[in-house]
Amino acid sequence: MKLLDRDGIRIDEFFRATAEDRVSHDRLIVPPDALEAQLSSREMRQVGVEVSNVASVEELARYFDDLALIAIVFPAYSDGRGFTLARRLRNAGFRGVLRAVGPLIADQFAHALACGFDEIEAPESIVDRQPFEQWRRAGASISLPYQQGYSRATSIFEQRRRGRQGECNA
Amino acid sequence: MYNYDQFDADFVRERVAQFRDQVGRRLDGSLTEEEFKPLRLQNGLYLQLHAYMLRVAIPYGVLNATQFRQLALIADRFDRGYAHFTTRQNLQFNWPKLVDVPDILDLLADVDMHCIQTSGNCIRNVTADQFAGVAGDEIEDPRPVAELIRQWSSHHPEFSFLPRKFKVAVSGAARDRALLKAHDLAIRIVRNEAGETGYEVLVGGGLGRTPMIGKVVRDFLPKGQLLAYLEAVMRVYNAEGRRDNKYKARIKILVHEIGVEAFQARVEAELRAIGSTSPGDELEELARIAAAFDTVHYSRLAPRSEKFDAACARNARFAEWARTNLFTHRVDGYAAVTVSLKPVGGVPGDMTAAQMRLFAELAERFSLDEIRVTHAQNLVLPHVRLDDLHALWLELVDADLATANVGLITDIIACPGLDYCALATARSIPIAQAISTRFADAARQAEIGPLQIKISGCINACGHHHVGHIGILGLEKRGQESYQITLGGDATENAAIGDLLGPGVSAQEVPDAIERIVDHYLAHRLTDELFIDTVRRLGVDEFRAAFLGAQDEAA
Amino acid sequence: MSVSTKHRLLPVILIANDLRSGDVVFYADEGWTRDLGNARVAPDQASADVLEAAGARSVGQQHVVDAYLIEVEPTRDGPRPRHFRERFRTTGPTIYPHLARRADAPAQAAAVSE
Repeated sequence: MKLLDRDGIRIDEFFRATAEDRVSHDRLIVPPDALEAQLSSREMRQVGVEVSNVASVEELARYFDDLALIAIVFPAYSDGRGFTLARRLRNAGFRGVLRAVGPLIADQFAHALACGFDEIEAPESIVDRQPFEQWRRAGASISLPYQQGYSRATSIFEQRRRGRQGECNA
Repeated sequence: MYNYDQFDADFVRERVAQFRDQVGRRLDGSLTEEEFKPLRLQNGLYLQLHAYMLRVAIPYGVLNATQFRQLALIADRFDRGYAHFTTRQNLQFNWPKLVDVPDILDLLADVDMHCIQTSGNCIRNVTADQFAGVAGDEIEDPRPVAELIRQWSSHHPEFSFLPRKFKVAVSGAARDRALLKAHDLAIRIVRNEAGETGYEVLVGGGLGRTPMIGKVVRDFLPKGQLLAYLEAVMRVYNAEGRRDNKYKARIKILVHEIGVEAFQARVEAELRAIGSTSPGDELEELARIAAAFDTVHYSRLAPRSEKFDAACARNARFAEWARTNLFTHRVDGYAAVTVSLKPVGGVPGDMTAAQMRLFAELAERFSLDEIRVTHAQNLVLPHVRLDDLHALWLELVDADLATANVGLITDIIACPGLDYCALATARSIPIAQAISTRFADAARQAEIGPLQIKISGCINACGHHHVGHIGILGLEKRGQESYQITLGGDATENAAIGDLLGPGVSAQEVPDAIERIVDHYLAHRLTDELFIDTVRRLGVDEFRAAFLGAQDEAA
Repeated sequence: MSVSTKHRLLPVILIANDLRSGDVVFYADEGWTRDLGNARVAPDQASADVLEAAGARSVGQQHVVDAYLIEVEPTRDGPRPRHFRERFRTTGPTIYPHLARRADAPAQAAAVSE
């Protein structure tokens, strides 16, 4: 797997661990059933959790303050549940890192970023075929989306509203 | 017409550039076919039996002459000189090459058109009543809200990889001419007891393998809250719609399995999670969109036209056409004209590039530069002066576009079927041609009266067979094409799914089978009773007995 | 979309769509052809496997899409698909005779790149 974000291919500083693992890494991604154990170990660590795309927002919300990262698994690139889960987690107030894990393609980079993901962990076979330049280009292909409240950038609806209010002279 | 602002125009151009890049990356191997397929589908590009097929969006069925001419130009330059109007107010080119599609999309963008989301597991092209803004039974013109939904759903970051396709229809009228109840989501503009207009929202209709009639999930949604409500519905569906079985993935199955009340509760919970919205912003945007539509400049005319009356008295063929193909306009002195694309023995919904160019000219001369497309695969000239009807008719006669059969037995809906479609199990078009040839006689058609035949070439039901008064479904049976016939479907506000009459018949037997049904109706109808009403009064069983009895005799 | 991948009757030919044009093409001795009469007929399982492998290779090289074997019966004019769906694919729409596929039609004369 390869990790990438807005700026390019990155080294993954998180290590995947289970409940029993006593590892020296200071950044861990654990499965949900190992979360309690790793969080209560009281070591100075950043802990993330890897969940399926049908995970409960309410259950995760209990750990928001302690969680550095939530990784959401995409079983297939055509399965868009992960986008909705990301959006729900952001709506519920999660401010940590959101990672999409699975066979996403470059053309979904914009969707993922707009729904609140910060980074993508995709199979090497895809990233080798679709180098980061393709992700960057695809991610920037629509400069202004219609939908309000998704992207960190503004939207067409928002630009028009500001135009009506005379705040926007452009 | 809605006029694009710079944002709309830039968005469509960027979408074209994006697709050009995707095609390039498909050809150089960056994208596999499996990866590329959902991307091309979201730009309307299929791979069919013989070639690629490009489906052009005609949002809520509205076009002007310039756009129509551009479609004709594309048909000549990149296709084989014709195009096909579909059952969802779209247009299809049957022979484009993949490498040409980006150029075709640029030509469409030149006239504010696109192929965005005419396929794929996303929110599809929004359809509407073809008589929007024209019909007298309308509370409010549904086109601005349809346009709002088109924009909101375009390249949606969250809802572009849904469990399955999601079709939306909008109407502002009392009568349902937009097949609302067969859509995943439908919006009807209604007025409440306080006299305010708002939206009735239906969810969970759809045809296909498991046909279902849409259910009301909100009987009055105040204006300004629509996009938040749609977001909540889509989020529930995206999260919970089934993904284990393609045939159970539509929202109708989710609503059916958990029940309407549970579905409503989930949507309301999602609305609470979304939190505060800005109804004022939505209302302002809706008003901006409404103002961006062209104002139609009608003349002040008398409600009756002596010229029209005289022409009717003089020419029986014209009078016959006027009787079947006109729709009452809310403005005095005007009529909306449905132009049938169902000539006897012809291919339903097909039009040559030459006809398209002529039709564009007629729209300019006679219909204030406006054209509508209907889900029944016909066209509408929505604003024709009664005084001009005869002159228009003469032009249509010359172009082979004056077939007087709207709503009659030869005005058949048929999907492309196995003549084009990779999913089809049998042919549809030749069946439509055989039936329309059998019932070609105008006097006989008039005697039979309104009767809708709808034909699909597979269980996906693009030909809407479930809601045809007579529905025909083409299947494969023991290595042969075989046709199941249903009776009693209804595509209006009284929407109903037809009942199967009996075992499938061969292609050759279909016209005889239809004739037996029609004869039974003619023999048993009450004075002025419509076909569908006789079917309802007598019950499908009695027709089944006639259908099966005669089949036994033939055997 | 394969109609009959299981219990396939021999002989078979390999059919696909050209990636760039979408045209229906058949695998022949010299590569892909639009002429059904030139399609290479596999009379036994071993040669059917060879065809299938050639199809997979061609898909991987971005030449064609949707390559699969179809059952045919040999006739004096060449192989004829057994299933009506595949017969329509090889002849073109049945409703417009002028659009019927012709291997020598000018628009389709160019050989497919291999």
